Amino acid sequence: MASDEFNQIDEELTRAFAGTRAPASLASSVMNRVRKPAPTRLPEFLDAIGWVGILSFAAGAVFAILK
Amino acid sequence: MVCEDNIAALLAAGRRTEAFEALLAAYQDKIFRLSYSMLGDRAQAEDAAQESFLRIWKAFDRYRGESALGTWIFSIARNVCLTLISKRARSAPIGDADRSKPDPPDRQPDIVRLVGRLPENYRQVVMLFYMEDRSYEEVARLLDLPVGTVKTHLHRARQQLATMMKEAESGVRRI
Repeated sequence: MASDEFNQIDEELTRAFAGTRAPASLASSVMNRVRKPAPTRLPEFLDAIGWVGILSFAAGAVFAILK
Repeated sequence: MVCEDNIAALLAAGRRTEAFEALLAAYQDKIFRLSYSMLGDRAQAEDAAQESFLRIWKAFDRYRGESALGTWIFSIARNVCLTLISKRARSAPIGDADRSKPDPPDRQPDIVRLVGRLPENYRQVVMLFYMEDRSYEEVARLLDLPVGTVKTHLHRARQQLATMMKEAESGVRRI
């Protein structure tokens, strides 16, 4: 590759990419997402209690029939 | 290194949010540049950088300092980008001819467009090299490649760019 060609490519690449920085909004967007409160686990917890109740009832009914 | 020590000290003192804010300030440009070089698109790079920092935040308590903080952070960011690249490859139509499409003849060759046509590993190296003040060592550290490989990729990338520029210019002259 001729050196003037190389220099031209080098200059164009420098112009295109040197000094690339993260967008100004990046840090604030990340911190907003970090500070967002974690979703509560209450619905899953209540759901689990409900299922335990249903299964207990079903087990009791089966046990009563078999007895 | 002073910055890494500062972050580690804040983390050890249980000041997790402050430590993370310091980390974000110190690494946001590097993570963005790494993502941009790997994905070749600024908007996707911003999304990937956000995702990387969220993963870092979630895993922050588990960081025990076995590896340098930078090494740990860059490996998370690389994994996020690799996941996006493989998702993109799966969703791309077979025979996507966009990359081999010639330049419109009425336009002068644009170096950024030509860089976008390089093979992925060359494109990553060439973009990062110029974004990181032409440091072979920094590119090697960010991409986790040997310095020799970085130099080889860069040399071949420039050769390919020169060929592409010649082709584009001769195409413009013919019109």
